[in-house]
Amino acid sequence: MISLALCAPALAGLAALISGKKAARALLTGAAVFNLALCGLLWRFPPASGSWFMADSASLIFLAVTGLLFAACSFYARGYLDTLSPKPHIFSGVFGDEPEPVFISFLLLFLAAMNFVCLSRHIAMMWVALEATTLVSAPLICFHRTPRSLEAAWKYLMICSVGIALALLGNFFIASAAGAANVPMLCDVLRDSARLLNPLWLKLAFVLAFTGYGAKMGLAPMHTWLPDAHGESPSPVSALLSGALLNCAFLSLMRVAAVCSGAGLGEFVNDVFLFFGIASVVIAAAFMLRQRDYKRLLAYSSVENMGIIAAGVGAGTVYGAVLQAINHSLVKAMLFMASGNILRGFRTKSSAEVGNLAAMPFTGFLWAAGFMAILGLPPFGIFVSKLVIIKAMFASGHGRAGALFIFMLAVVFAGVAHSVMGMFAPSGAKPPQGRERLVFILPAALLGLCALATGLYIPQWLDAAVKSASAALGGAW
Amino acid sequence: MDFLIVSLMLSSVALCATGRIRSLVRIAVFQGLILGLLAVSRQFTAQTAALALATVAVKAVIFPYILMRAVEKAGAVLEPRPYVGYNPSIAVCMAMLGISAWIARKFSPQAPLAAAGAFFTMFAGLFVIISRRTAFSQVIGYLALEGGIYSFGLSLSGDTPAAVELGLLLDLFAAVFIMGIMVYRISDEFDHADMEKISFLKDSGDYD
Repeated sequence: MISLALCAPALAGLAALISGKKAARALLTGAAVFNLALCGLLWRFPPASGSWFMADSASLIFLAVTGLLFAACSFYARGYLDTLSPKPHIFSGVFGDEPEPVFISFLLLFLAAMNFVCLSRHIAMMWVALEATTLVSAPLICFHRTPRSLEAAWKYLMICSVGIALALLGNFFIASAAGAANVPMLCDVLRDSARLLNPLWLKLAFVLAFTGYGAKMGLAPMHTWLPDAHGESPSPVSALLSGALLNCAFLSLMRVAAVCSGAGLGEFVNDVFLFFGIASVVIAAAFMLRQRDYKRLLAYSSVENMGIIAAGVGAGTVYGAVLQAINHSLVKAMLFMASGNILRGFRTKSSAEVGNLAAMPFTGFLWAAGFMAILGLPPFGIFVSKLVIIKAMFASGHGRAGALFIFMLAVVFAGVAHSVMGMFAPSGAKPPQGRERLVFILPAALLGLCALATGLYIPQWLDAAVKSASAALGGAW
Repeated sequence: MDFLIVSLMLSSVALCATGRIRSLVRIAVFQGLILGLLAVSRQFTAQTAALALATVAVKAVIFPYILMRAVEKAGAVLEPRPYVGYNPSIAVCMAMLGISAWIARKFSPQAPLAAAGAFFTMFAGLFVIISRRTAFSQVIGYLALEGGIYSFGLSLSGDTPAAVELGLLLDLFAAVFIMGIMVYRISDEFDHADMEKISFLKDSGDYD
């Protein structure tokens, strides 16, 4: 069943490459729904671990989030591709888009690569998969071949590839530590027999992995590619990059961190996570305060949220971090979809030029609700996970870090409120063009409902899954 | 084997010391050949031979071909005004050489020369990525970085299973391939590949 989850999207992707427009679209949604159903089956009947792949609860959680997001995005993307006229923008004379089947094919390969990351058991295999996600998503970013998107894709490719190359070096260090102790390089086996490994090698490996996977996850100061890539890519791609890909990088990083914590480096690992987590929140807050481009605002909010997740790990609550990761994915994907609707309606990415957003009632509602959710207002799930993380910070004796953290969340609140409220104010902006279509509203609304549900009530099975995932990733639960 | 590693190191020095794009590409070809030879120098089996062949094919044939076409398209001959000049670059090289030798002695006492060569090549690659402006040089720097890591892996152990090694190589090849295509696109659309001039994306001032 695991191999089916890996092969189905990849094969569908390859098939899309050689098929026509209509067939490719059918393949996209078909494979997305099939993948989601498969995730459900894997949850219901968890398979035994193989020698390369496994499906523990951490894998399953991130696999399910990825599958859910991809299914929502696949429907959104169909609508998106519909709206592209033959000449979509002013540059179209010079810069044509990629052919549509190629775009769909890379989307499906992207899903396959992310599934690959989630289900990897072998540390080197996980690296291979994570690098593959970079390679197949770079062409997605510059789907519209504008100068801006080319620059964004180049930055993304270069920074993430160099980062991941360093993580590969880290892998070699783990390999030599494991080789010396005669332990196979499987995440769970390494974690359980970490005491046998040479801690110096592991420490080096962790630093390198943190640099590499942390860059991919968007932690400051290696985050510089993120606002560009997420800001410039087509909205469904931004939603996937932000909601699904960052989680995959987080999962990979946690797999390495779990091994190091097991080897008695827990304190060092936590300090690194806490420091760079808070640094990411601070830097993101600084850039969000006067951000005029609403897609970049969302991108910086992703940096902030990755910082919150890392800070959660640093404070010792992997439970809170995983919960935050789930909630962030749902809400951020919803917001990026809504931002795509706004972009289509107002034809600008500047929040100052958008006014009277209530003229698009559904999008406006999603936009406002999404921001309330992402800022951590009570009925939504992020409120719960942020609270868990802040509580853990004070409980673990990081009082000053906690205070700074809360202050920075307030700064973010101010920055976001400033630009988002302005978008609703009546102004001289041109009224939005076109009407709102169901295909652009429903997927986002469904994700929003999920985020609301996790805030109102965390069902027993989800709670148990997050707890056991946290244990699998070296947490205290 | 020692001879190969020394040539790898010398070519990395050359990488830092030249600004002619054609020479850079030639050095990349040379390093690709050396890595291919390194792969078969420890043991010659069907598997290592295939790996070596693939390395040479991608790094010394396909990639330089794409890159040279991009270079010709952009009409680039020289790296314009690097952030660090060539004489200081050589000084940095010497410092990096010392550091790699120190690291190698500390961490890999059983094969210090191989490890030093690998680390030095990595550092040289990273340095080129940071200190040069054009996408061409940056790609070649990445190639060197990745080659250094690869040769470090070779010097370490043959513990990694074949399937993983294959996946690893496949990824690196794909990375180089996609980068080559991107550079081609960039030079196609901008008529140059100076990444400093290509900077629409920043956070200051008004949105254009």
